[in-house]
Amino acid sequence: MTVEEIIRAAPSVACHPVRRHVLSLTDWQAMAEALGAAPEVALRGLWADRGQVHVLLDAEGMLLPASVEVENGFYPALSPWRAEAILFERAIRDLAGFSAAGGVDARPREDHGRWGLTTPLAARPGAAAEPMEAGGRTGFGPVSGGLGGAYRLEFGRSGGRIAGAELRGGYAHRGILALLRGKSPRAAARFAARVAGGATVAHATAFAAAAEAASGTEIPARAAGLRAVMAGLERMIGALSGLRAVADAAGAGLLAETCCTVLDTGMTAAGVAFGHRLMMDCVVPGGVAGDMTDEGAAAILEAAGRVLAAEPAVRALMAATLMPRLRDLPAAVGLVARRLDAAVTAAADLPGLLDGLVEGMLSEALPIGSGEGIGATEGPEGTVWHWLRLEGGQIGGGFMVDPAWAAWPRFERALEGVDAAEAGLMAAAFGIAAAGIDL
Amino acid sequence: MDEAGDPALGHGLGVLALDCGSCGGCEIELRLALSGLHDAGRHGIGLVDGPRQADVLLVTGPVTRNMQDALGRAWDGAADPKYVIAVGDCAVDGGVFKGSYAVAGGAGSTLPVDLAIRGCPPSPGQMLEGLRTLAAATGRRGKQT
Repeated sequence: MTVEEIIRAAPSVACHPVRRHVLSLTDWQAMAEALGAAPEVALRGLWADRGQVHVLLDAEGMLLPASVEVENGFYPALSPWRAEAILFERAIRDLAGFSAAGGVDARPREDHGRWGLTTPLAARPGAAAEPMEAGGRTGFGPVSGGLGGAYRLEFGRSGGRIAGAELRGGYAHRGILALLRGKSPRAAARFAARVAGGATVAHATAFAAAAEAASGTEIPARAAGLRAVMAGLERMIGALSGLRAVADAAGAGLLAETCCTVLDTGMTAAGVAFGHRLMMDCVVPGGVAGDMTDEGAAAILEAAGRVLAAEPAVRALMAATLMPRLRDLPAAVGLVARRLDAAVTAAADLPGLLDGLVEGMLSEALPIGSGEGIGATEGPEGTVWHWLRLEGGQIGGGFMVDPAWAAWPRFERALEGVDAAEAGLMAAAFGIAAAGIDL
Repeated sequence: MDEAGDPALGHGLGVLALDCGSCGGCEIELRLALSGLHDAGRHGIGLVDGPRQADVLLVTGPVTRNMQDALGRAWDGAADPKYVIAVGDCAVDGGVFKGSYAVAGGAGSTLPVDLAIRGCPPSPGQMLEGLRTLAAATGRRGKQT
């Protein structure tokens, strides 16, 4: 049986806009094995809620959430068949206290023994753990200078080349999943907007969409249109910001400065149009927080025009100053080229999105109710998924999948055999950040 | 060589950026503040790679409990005189994450703070103004253009 057939044969509950199937232990194990032979089915997320572990699978765009009951603190691991499950299984262990039976990596990740408690998402959190010592291998971070971020990269060396790279995380863990609980989606939206600042619109929109799906709310057409404009503007700014970070790391100063100038124009336009340069808290469950200003459309059009006008110069600078630096880093080349393409595509799409705006209401009140929903939005680094369970209008549980979950293991693999001196440049090319994954 | 500063005033202001659980929003604006757009280099303000070269520890994020040790080690590794700037609402007092089991609650939870710049995030102009104010107050820079 295929993964989908195994899942669909199990009884299901509503998880709007799809259904979540609750598998028996045997069927979950069969699903895990089938996943090993089904690379076309992506594992987007794995998390615990109450006494179950949920997996979000994605069969070429068709979302398939599935669950298994935890028994005596254990559930069957997915990591032997899918490496993407490893970081999630470690997070479930640290936050909810459930262990992945047969899992390939059971080391703590989020829990460094500093919280004064353990398993904060468990029904009864545990007593404080012993503080964990910082890693013993060579590497850098979480204090690395520059603007690298709150993570630590460790690796061995073989003739100056990287062997066995590992990103160590948890440093940016803020306890967001616990903070969501017991709050209305409206109140908790401020946390969703601060999961990853460069993707604040994407996270706020996916979070809002999950809350709207869970509560059966249809948002006004104008709100949907304004969200699309904000998301497009954010992808344009994010792509340029990412390109700028690579240029900086590569010492391509003029390219970095050029990116800065156009991206600042984009952020200024966001500020003019929506009152915040990153558009933080502009998307709220039920719609948007406020209307676009009268000057907003012109400012956004100008910013998009600047990006399109700058494209030839940026492309020439990239070819002359950045690409030669990436000659020995083939994994980085495609990523960097894609960032410029993404900025240009987003800029080219903005006029159409503005044209498509219709007049009307800005938001719809969410009815107080119970239910479960999933929301997804395209952010600067990839798709963002949010899952929410509402209980009487308040959040009972939630989970957020930032593209960083997939980027971290991909980055570790890409570092194998790379000149150790280029680790920082590779991190910039892969857009490695801690905030989206540490939660 | 304006950016090198007047020799009589010593070196410029070396800033060690310490991400202590930031969402990354403050870093986006900080990058712009330190770029050619705002000409930070002209005022002798620039990033350094480690505590030893740092005059200023610039803290962003709510200071997670998992970052407290690293933050303390960065402070211990910086030579006197040294200063601490808390940038953004999170670093000022924990911001929206205040009260979480995982958050110590701002730079002041761990280090003596000399200057707090509110905002979520503060604008590049506000960040640069803060750095220049500190530079002037500490005598690191004399010439304000």
